[in-house]
Amino acid sequence: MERYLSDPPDGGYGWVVVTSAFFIMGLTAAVFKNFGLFFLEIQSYYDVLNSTTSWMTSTTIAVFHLGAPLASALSMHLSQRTVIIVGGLLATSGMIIASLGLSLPWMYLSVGLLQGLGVSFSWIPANSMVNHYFRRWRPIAYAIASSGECVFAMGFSPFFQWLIDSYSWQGALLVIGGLQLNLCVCGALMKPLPAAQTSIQDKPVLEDGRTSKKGTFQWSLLQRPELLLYIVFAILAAAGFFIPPLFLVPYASGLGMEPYWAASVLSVLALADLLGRLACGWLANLRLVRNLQLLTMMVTALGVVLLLFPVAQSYWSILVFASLYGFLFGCVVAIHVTTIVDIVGLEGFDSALGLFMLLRSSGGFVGPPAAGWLVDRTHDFGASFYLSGLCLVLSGVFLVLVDRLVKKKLKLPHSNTEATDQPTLKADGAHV
Amino acid sequence: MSHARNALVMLCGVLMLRSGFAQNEPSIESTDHMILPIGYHSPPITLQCNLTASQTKHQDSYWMKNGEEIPDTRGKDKNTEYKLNKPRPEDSGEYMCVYTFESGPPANATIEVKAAPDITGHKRSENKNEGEKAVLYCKSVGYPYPIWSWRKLDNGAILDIDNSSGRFFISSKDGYTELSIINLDINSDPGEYECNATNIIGTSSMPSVLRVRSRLAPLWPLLGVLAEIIILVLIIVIYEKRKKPDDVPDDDEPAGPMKTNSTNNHKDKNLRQRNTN
Repeated sequence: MERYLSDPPDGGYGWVVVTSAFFIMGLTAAVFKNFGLFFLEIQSYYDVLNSTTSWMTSTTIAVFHLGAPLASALSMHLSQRTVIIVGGLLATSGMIIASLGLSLPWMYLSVGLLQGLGVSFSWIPANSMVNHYFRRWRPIAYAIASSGECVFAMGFSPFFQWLIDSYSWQGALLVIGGLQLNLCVCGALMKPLPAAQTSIQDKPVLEDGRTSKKGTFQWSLLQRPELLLYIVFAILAAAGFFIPPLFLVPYASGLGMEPYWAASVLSVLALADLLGRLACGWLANLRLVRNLQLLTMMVTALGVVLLLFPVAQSYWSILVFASLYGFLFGCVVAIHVTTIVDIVGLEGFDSALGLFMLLRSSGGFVGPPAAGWLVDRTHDFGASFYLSGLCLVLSGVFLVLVDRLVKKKLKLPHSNTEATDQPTLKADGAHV
Repeated sequence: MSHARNALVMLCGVLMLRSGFAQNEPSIESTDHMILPIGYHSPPITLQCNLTASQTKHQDSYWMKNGEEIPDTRGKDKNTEYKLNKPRPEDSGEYMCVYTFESGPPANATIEVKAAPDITGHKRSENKNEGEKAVLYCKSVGYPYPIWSWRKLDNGAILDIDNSSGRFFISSKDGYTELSIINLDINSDPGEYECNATNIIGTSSMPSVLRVRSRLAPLWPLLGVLAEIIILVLIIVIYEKRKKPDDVPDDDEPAGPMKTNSTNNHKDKNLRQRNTN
């Protein structure tokens, strides 16, 4: 049986990796989340429509997802450290070029392509490192790392606004670009793990010593039904994820809420997200149920909350529902990546992660326009919540199927594995 | 005799002049023109119109403000009222009660409700880069429409704006005024500007702060961030060198436990191995 790493450190330097990943997630995802603050400025500077400027961030999302498998493959060929450093340089250059503000297509290239690629090259390997460095503490380590996105997002909101006021949007982008250079510093901290490449008995991995690689991108993973079904879950879930944040504010405004209150709902949501990630990471670490089962419960609960969301008509009920949504969303985010290890094992994790990010983006692209079409047809913003709730509950069905398949493959007893989450536990029950 | 007759004719004529309106045109009694007190706590006021005499039967009546009909004010009474429960400066204006008739033109009476200007909208502060154009504006309510003026506050002293450079433009209309400054100069333009609205009743003014950003300003924080990054990288490199001076992590190097004993067979191959147990 092949093991990518015989013995993850599970602590020690791993916590340095977690801290580094915390900053990487913050400097990438949180910057992107707060980019909306620049929209008005850039839109009036170039004198174009709102929808035209939003293409910038759409390009970023697209490049991020398309670059995911590339980032995975590169980090396997070179090392995660190298790819993160390259990602940091790309992101910084993207921001600095954007700050020159030459023309709108130039912005698409810099903010969309360069920044998107840089974010992809930083985010994916950081994820990978955290998962590789831990076994027993993996869920909570990943949860802490991913909470960096929330913490930074909350802090960056006022900070970016102050930057724009003090230095204009061009100056702000320049400073942010400099800050993103810290990604290289974080990448430098990601010491690669010594990898056990050789199999135990008969497969010498090193056929050609000079070009010994960490592994090749395993496209064959797609043939595994459990991974395919998990990706279907991911596509549906992505559709469900991306819809509510877009329609929450219009829904609240439609009920007569003022913009200031609607913005406060978003802040509460971000806080609930943070709490959800940490809580669920800790919960998953207790190993009371399998990761897949926990994920199924959270996804279904999230879908139900969204289906019930239109019941909220007043400020306080919206706040309650939004915090529930944020909390469950954080839970799902905290464990849906570490679950990939349960499905394909650690050696297939990098490839699977790349494929996962690439394919689930389709859900993210189709979801919001579909919800928008539904809202236009029904003249009711609540329809978008029905759609996302439905997508999530449906995705939960696929999760149950995946869980069954994985259980069957491992021939696990009904009781849960306490010691490890690696599928390759028993000698004969090895899953290849 | 003729004097008396002349006087009588004149008297009749005058009387006819006065009541000539009464005989040929309707007469309306209306509230006097008024001035709203300053602030937002004045007592409710009522505008009244009473159709005292008219030739033909009147149809209905309605109120107008500043030339536009006020909705939901149509009625059939001769005595019509328009109430302002909480009069505010924006309620000031030229009010008219209009009576329409089955035959003949409508009749109206005008009541002017005046108030001192109150500036309701203005930009508290504006940040622009040097060389760009800045626009400061003020909006006011209060009838009659005020005369606008812009001044600059310098250490408490109120100065007129020095337009020797020709970069300042003021455009005002009714209750709105705009001060545009083109090609901002970082040395002379930043500061506090004040728009002033004055009409026959009173005056009001509001300050706006203009800040001009230097083009090179963001370079300082950028340099600071770069310095921080260089310091961190140096720390990491030095730390790694000191820990393992001869063992720079090489990503291509295989390592880890090798449980097989087949190393002897691979002597010919280009393998790098580590001695581990």
